[in-house]
Amino acid sequence: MAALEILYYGRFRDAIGRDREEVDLPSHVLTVDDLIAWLRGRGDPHSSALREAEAVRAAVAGEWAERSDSVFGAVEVALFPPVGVF
Amino acid sequence: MIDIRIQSADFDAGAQIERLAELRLAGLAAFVARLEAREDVDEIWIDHHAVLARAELARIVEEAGAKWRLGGLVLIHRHGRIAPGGQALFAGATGSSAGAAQQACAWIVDQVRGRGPFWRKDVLGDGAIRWWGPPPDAR
Repeated sequence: MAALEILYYGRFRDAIGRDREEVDLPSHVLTVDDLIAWLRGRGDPHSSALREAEAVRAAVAGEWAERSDSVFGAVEVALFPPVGVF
Repeated sequence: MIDIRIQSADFDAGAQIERLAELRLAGLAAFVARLEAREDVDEIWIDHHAVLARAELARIVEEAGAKWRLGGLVLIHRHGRIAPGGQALFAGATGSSAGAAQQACAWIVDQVRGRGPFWRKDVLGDGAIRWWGPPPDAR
């Protein structure tokens, strides 16, 4: 188990009801995809907020991340919907 | 001159254009994006990922600098609370080639729109919240 801080932005912030949380990551969670699946598996509000998994974008340690990118050893992962304000 | 800012305060577009004009180069192009909203919107909040936004705007400006020969570039993106109709983005470019300034400015706006980690929330008069962009269940 490793501590990971997850930051939520955009509509996820309201849907999950917080802007950040610290989780103890099980060792089988290795990629961004694994993390999203694991969070959804924890039930609501995460499972509703992240239910359209393909619409979830991520950044690891302040840099864009692909879904297959590793979160192993990361201190911070941000999850957010597609960007844009105008 | 390159100046990139992410700020909650409003900006004076005229003053920014003036700064670029002081470089006395042949072409100057500037763009302002405002947050158009329906009448039932009371206020708008721009959420952003600060670290990623700083890095991404810097990358966009760097890429523009590699594509076009520019003498000056100002890029301002606001976050936080903005009144409906308020200014959200300023992009200005100046260079010895008018075409380069124009193209760079348009390109930067497009890139910021598609890559900038900013999200918009509209708060309606009755307190309801509407996030910008297609809701997940509408796909």
